[in-house]
Amino acid sequence: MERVSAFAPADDPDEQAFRTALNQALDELPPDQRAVLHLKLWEGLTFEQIAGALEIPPNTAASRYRYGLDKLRDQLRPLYDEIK
Amino acid sequence: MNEPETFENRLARQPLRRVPAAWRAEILSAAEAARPRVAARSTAEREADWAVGWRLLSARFPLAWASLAALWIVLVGINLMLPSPFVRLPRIELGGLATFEVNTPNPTIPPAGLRPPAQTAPAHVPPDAPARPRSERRREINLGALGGWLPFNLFTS
Repeated sequence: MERVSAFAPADDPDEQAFRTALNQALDELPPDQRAVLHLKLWEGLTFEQIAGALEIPPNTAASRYRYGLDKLRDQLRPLYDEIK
Repeated sequence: MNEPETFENRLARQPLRRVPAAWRAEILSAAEAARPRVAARSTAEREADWAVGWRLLSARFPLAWASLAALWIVLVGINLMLPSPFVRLPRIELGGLATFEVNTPNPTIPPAGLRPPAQTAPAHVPPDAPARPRSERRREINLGALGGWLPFNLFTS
């Protein structure tokens, strides 16, 4: 069963490759880190709001965000450096 | 601007796929339909839950509940059979205010143990006893404290 990407398709092949890799990297993250990343990056919530929504301490939300972001950076660094 | 902020901004700029309007309406309607079932639970339903919980608890440990009830009944029976812990005092007939004053200790007279030494009887001192040194008197007191245990007198032999 083919999974549908969470990101909109892009016209630029490099940009599309980055979004595909980003979607795959997000899928490989633990769900708690993925939820915090989604709420912070694409919903624009603060750590306090994320903590309230997920019923976790703000420091926990921040640490999950930091760990998830490091994993994404490790996986997307080649593509990111190439596009940049 | 440093690299982490650039990377975060880069991620945040990636547009998410828009959920089709039909899906969104369907999901929201389903969520709206499910919400009142959870929120609008009446008091009777909650009490029914308590009753079900107690019933399950009592049905799960019938022997323990029966033992507890039997123990409680035995304790109540023992308590009823034992005499009352409260002692019934004989009734005192007070003839009047005068009787009451006689039976009540006078607050102006202190108890015997608290009376000043001047009120106690003075020790008998022979009027013609010769004055002796204090060391000899102390020795007599110490020997008297032995209660006659010594078979002889240390100071006269």
